[in-house]
Amino acid sequence: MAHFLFFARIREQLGQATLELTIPAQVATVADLLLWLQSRGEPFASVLQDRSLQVAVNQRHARTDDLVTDHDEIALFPPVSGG
Amino acid sequence: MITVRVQLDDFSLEQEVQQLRQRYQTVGGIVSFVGVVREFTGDERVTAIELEHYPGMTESELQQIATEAREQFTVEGVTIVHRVGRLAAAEQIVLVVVAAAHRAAAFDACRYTIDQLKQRATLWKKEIAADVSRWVDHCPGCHSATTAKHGEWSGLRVAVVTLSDSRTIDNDQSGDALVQQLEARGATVAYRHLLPDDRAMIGQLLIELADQRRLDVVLTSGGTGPGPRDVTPEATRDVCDRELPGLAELIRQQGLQQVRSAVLTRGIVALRHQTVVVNLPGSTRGASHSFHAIADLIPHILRMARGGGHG
Repeated sequence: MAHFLFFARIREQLGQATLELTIPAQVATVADLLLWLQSRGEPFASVLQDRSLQVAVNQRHARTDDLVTDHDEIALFPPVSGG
Repeated sequence: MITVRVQLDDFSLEQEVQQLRQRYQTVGGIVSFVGVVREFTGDERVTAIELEHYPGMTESELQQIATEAREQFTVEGVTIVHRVGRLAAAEQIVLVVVAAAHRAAAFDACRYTIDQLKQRATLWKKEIAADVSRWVDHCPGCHSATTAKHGEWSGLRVAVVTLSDSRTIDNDQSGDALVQQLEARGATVAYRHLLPDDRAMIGQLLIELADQRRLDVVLTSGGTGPGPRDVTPEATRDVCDRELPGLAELIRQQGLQQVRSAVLTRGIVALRHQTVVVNLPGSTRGASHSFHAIADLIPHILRMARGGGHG
């Protein structure tokens, strides 16, 4: 099971802060993962279309071609705005 | 000393400065930055903000930024305190304090730390006005985290080669420091080796790394001085097609801000086909500073070497 975390605007739009999901074997990369989540219907379908969406895998900023597995901690969030 | 805290409570600039002074009684200067909640964005009056963070990741990112600041500039102590939760207008949000022997390094390190924090650290701000609240999706001049320059190294395959007649791989501190910095930037260290200062052997290895292993970047450390055994620039020139003299000058120029003898390094930066070879000095600090001086330009060079444009 992968552990999902959502932050800030993405958390509010999805209406949840965390989620446990089993990632199917055909999902290899961050890009695959986002498409798969969108295919699960609303609210993911519309919220994850956001082109500014950021992803971290195991607490490191990730890019769309980075790999994901079913044991990862995966966070989705908007661009950062601290300081 | 690096101190990093993410907390709900307010902080005291005086206390944090005092702590650094007690720890470093010989520092020449302390520079601090305090960020406060702005009351107006545009015409709108903001009554409060709410700050959210990613527990665990945010702290380790701040630790990483402080470590980079300490490696890149010659400073002793770096303290970062960032508040989260609900903060009223005019309250303090963030504190950076840097203690150093010299003021230039202290100013530079403080500026670097707050700039990187705003670009990279997983913190999100929601502004609360009289009847609306909205997430601040970007700050002016800040890139999104994945396009920040550290991210561009992810996916690159890099070799770290140390040239020394006296060291072994077990006490290769400059090599260790470079590996650490490369990994922090998300690059893959695909090859690591230590060679004696031998012009033919160095040339042979560079050819193998570029042609057989097809690595993106080779960082060499050592053998760049004026001594008779220092042959790394010659060996690099022997096997490379094109030099990038501006980068070597940038390394020397940045080094000069740390120590005058930095201009004695004869290192070059050059391309063999589509592999960038960078000659760094052999001292740990010299290698780290020099790498930092040009690290943001390397992904750009690789894109252009492969026929891509500026982008």
